[in-house]
Amino acid sequence: MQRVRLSSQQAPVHKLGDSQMTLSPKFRLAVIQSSLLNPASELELSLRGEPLIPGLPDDVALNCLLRIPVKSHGACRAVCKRWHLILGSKERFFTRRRELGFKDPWLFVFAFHKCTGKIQWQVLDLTQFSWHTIPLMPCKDKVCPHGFRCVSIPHEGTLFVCGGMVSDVDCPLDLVLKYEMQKNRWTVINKMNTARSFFATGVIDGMIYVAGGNSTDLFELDLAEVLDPVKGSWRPIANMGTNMASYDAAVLNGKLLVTEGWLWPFYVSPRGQVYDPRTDNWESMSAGLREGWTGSSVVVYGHLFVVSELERMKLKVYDTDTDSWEPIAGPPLPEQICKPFAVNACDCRIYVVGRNLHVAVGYITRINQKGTSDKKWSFSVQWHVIDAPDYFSDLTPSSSQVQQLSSKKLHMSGAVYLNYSAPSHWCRMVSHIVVVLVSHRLNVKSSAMISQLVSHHVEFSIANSRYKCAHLLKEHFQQKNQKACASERDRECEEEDDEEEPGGMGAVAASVIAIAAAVLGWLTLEIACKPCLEKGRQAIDRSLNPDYDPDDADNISSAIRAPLNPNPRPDFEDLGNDPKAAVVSSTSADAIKAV
Amino acid sequence: MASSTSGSSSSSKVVKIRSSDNENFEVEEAAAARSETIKKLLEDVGDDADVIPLPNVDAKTLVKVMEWCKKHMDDVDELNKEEMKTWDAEFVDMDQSCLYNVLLAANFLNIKELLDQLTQKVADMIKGKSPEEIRATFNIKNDFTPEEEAEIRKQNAWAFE
Repeated sequence: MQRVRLSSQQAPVHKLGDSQMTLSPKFRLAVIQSSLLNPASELELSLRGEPLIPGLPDDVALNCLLRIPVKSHGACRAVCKRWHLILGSKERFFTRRRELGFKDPWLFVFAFHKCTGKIQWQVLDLTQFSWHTIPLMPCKDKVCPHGFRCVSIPHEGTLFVCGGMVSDVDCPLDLVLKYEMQKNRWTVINKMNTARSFFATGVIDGMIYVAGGNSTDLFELDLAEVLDPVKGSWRPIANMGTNMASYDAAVLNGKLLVTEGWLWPFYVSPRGQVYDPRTDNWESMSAGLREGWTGSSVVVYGHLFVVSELERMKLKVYDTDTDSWEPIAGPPLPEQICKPFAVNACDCRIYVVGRNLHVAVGYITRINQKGTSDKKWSFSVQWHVIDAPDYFSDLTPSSSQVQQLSSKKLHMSGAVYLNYSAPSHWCRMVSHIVVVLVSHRLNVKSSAMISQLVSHHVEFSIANSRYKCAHLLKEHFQQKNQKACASERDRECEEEDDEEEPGGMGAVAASVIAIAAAVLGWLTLEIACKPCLEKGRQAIDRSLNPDYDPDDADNISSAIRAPLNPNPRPDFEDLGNDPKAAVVSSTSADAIKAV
Repeated sequence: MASSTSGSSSSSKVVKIRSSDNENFEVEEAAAARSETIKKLLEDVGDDADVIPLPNVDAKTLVKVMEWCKKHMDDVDELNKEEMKTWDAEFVDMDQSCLYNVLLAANFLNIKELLDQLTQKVADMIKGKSPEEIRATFNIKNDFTPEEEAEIRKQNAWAFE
């Protein structure tokens, strides 16, 4: 009652201007649902032969359009209807990029305000170099921006923030938060068995290990535990054998390396422990490794690198054979990057985030040392600085993670049949398949050069149309799920739940289509390969006949083994899951609000 | 007519390819094998290959493509990367019809890296232009009704991106 009265009182005062409309997510959604973005029309337009870019095949043109930076989308979507469909929603744009195997790495930076200590996550799109924000972490207590540990499961788009400390009182936390890129939201998951801060973490085979750290009474812990992210449950592992807090940790060759780091006044050499999950056993770390570990580590090319805690230092790499550290070739850390650093790596790139969120990207290259025997590598680095916008000038990084959603490979053998169901396409498709099969069967050598070429050509066109079909099919699913999703996204503005619903629908739709595709596929094969299938059946009948003597067989087994069974089912089940992922996921791009 | 692009090094094997307008080229195998299509063909036919016909690539385009392949024949080490970048930037800087031809050829010959560079070039040509400029550059028909266009313009005015 009160709320209604309030809003009616406010109504005459507040004029609903454009600025408010943009802020209302519901209003924006209504716009997105307009007929212009109806995916069915994409199918229509492409079948009508309206090219994306005149003069280029659609798959090539799509490849071009998906490279357009987001800030140019506004102009591009006003070009024509098909462009509008591709560039009209960020969600769909990034889903398609993912389908075509574009890698979209994001750098998640945990930063805090220098004066207020207010915590926030800033996310850098490493393709376009633009910054975004994600929702705030759901913490009740005012947490200290240090002492927690952050890990991510590579290629899954999930980030875990474990433990930490309540600010002002040195009270460690057992809190564990999970962020999912695809849903752009945080969830609180099962607590650790032991509250801890300043501990070691590492991901080995998809399991999250935590060890040591400071306990409630400020004593150092020797307890360690592991989280199964799928089950969401923590269980203890072997004790570390020594009570210590962790300065830095790394996973190298399937082992968790934990170092205490040098402590003022540097009288005693730092301790270090190494955990092997296969034997559930801790060992002490070799002296060279722990004494030279003077900064934040990353693992690149299976080697341990350290970015020293001091500015303008060279990167160094650990050599297991000699138990020593060597500086690598190339310039030192660029001078724009000031302490403190948050360091992370992805593929062969090291990302060092410094004060004010300036980011240095280090491209590591390895060269096989000539002269020496087998696997001796030498490394070098090239730095490239991404300057942060001015409004980050009060921010200090505390941790960083690189996330990159892996693209699910689409094998669309089933979809090819389905999408070519329009009669003319259908016939052409059948003939294509026949050509391919025939040429495979002939096992041509040089004499049949031409037919080889033809078959390759056909394979290409199939491969190309596969891409196209993948999209069309996905659009189809999206259309089916659109209502469910729209209402879901609506709800997500307030409270997200029921994520499973559209997935369920997708699964039903997928299974229906999978069955249809299987039937169509089978029919094609029946028609196209009648003679050889008949031979095959005869052979089966014959072999089931008890009077049949295999020695008499004329050798037709190779024909029976025909490479004909497309077995579209597994592909389709895979795909059935995908639209859901596509709808919900589409990376954080859409959900992440642009700064 | 046979413009040979192969080097004088005796050890490298040479393959012959024929463009759509029946010009023959001799290319080092390592360069030609940048094309997945040619590589696959070579694997299939083996040594007794005579001439590989490329029925939808004309001579002018083929010269361009092979120029790129030759440059990218060996894996570049880090030192030459900058130089290579400049070379690539100059390479893709060509007029639009030529760009399209090379793009189509790269697609047909399945040279992923070249395809990436060229599609990126097209994207770069698109970015920063107004819708009208894009339509003019790429010869795209405006198929929006005036109402739809107004709707899109309104959307764009709101867009935060």
